Amino acid sequence: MAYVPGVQVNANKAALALAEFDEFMKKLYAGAEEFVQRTPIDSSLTVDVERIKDGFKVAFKLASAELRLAESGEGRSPFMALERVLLKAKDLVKVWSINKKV
Amino acid sequence: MQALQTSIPRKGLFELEGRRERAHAEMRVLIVEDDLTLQPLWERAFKTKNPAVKLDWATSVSEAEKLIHLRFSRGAPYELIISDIFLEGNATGVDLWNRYGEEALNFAFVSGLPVSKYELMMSLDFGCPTYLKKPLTLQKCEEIADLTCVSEA
Repeated sequence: MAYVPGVQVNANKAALALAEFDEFMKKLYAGAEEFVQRTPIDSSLTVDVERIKDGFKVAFKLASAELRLAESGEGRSPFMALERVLLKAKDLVKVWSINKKV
Repeated sequence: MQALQTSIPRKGLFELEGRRERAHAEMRVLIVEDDLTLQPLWERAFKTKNPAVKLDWATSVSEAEKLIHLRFSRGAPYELIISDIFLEGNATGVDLWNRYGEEALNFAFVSGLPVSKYELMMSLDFGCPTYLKKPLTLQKCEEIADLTCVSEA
């Protein structure tokens, strides 16, 4: 499994019972890596993936001295849940970045 | 672990939302098909039915996923995804539907498979997208292009 510095992923393969688990994890690590590159250097990101009633939930919790955020995305498939949380989290980082410059 | 509260003011989000609304004004359709000879047929069908639509083309699932990710990150997902079932690479159009089908307001499959085999391939838990059997004709393609006109109304 891929390792990305500053990123901890909690995803239980058996509990998720996902046929495309490995493919999903590849996309998750790639997305998380791209995301943390936009955040302060001391950031640590925790990603939780869980099954919910109608699909999947992917939650991001980011902590650093300057920036803290918690966002989640849900979807029928974990791939869409990931896209949704990435979009929300990136938006928050953009806003933080704009406010920091002002 | 205690839930973290977001430390970012939300006011800047309005600016991002506005950009999204502008992006939504542009209607885009993704065609996932490795037979490029069908490109003029699809272009003609959309030009006739909905000239405002912009067509993007991918020949494999991985290429399609990159485009879907790009559109999604711009806040303007595809209005319609039309996918062949058997494509270049290991993944099929059904994999694409299972991963990202919910985001397209409409999704349609195109293949040479008999309808009975298509239905067997599909997991019906999440519905079954429109199916168009090859060989394609302009009329069939226009029927699919009509899906974008319905959702526009």
